[in-house]
Amino acid sequence: MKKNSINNDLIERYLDNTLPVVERELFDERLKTDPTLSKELTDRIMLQKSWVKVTMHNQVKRHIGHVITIEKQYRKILTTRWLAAASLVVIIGIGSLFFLQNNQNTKDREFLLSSKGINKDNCEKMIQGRQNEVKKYGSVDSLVKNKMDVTKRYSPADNAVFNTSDTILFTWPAKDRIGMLIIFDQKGLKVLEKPIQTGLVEYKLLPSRLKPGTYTWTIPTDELKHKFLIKN
Amino acid sequence: MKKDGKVLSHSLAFGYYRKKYNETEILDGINANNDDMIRYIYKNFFPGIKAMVHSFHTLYLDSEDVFQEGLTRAIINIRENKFSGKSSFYTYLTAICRNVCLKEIQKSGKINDGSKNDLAVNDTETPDDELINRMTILKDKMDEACKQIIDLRFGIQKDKILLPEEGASLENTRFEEIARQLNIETDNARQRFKRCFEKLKIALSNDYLWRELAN
Repeated sequence: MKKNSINNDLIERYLDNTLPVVERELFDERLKTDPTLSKELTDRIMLQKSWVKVTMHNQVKRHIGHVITIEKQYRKILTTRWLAAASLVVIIGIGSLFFLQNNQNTKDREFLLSSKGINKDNCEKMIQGRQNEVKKYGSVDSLVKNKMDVTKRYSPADNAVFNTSDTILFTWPAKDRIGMLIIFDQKGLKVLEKPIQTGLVEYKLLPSRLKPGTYTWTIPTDELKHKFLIKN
Repeated sequence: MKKDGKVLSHSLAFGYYRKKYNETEILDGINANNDDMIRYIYKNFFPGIKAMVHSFHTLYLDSEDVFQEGLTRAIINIRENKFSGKSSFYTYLTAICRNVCLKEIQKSGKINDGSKNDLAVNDTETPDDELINRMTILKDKMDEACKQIIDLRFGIQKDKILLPEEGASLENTRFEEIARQLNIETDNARQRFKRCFEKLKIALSNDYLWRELAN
């Protein structure tokens, strides 16, 4: 053990090149004749090389791990950004839809309230009716696309049933050049007489204009009366 | 870290590393210790390695661990000019990672004799790999003070990445210099190193696998 320790000291000093010349020459001589010392020196050098390699390996691996971690974080941030941007677009889209809907309702409300004889409750019912119409047809404007179909017949057809909150669309064939749309109640009294401009083929009766009950409608060129019902 | 803006570029705004690098550029990036090239390799080659690792059903292996170990070996081999360049870098990396997997499976005893032949014996496998693995395990078991003084004595500076040419020419640091850095007496430094180095030698000589590999 003690010999080993002495050898180790000598080896370290030999490697540091701090042995006096005489001792260094003796050490070189011993290396040739003492296999133990020679092996200890070889092992010492080999261990140093291995240690350095291990350190280098670990450093490179740690560095790769560090770079990959940063890359993952960067990807995560990028994904989050895209998700945030997509969410923002969706939110803006939904918000715009609500805004447009609300804006339209406000305009309708202002218009209806400014009309004579329509109170606030009726106004809300009319707006509700319009919204029902939107729900039913997807868009009120889409009714225009069906104009060719609806104008071939009289609408509402006989015994059609509506709710008070419904907008009732009256249509008649285009060939009929009518001047007046007339609605009678069940007692035969006129409840609505609406002048119609030449060329028009439809008339929208907004909700709550008629009380629940049975009505008939006609146009002067048509002798027939078409019956319809309004429920609560 | 060195960054070579001319060779490598990435855009923060439009994703990253869309550019494809040729073999020479990849090897240059690795030799230059370029972070962007490591990211490029990870982004482009990891999915393939992951699929390869998952194809080994016999043992659960973390594909990321295998990739990091494989890439480390590939980088060191390239820097030490052990990569002959007969195959593409991706093929080379895949072969190394495959060897890592097979070694792990072999260790676990879940490999049949026929599969042992699958271990590559070309430039993807160096005899040092297993020695490094064993010493890494033994080194990790040592206390920090011992690791520090051995590092200092062997000329390894903290937080400085060693390049192969530097590693090969590292010289011992004098005990006077170590003593100055640690603010202790020279004899104390000498004794501390002697004690720690002795511990290392004992640990290695007691390690069956190390003895087998070293002989």
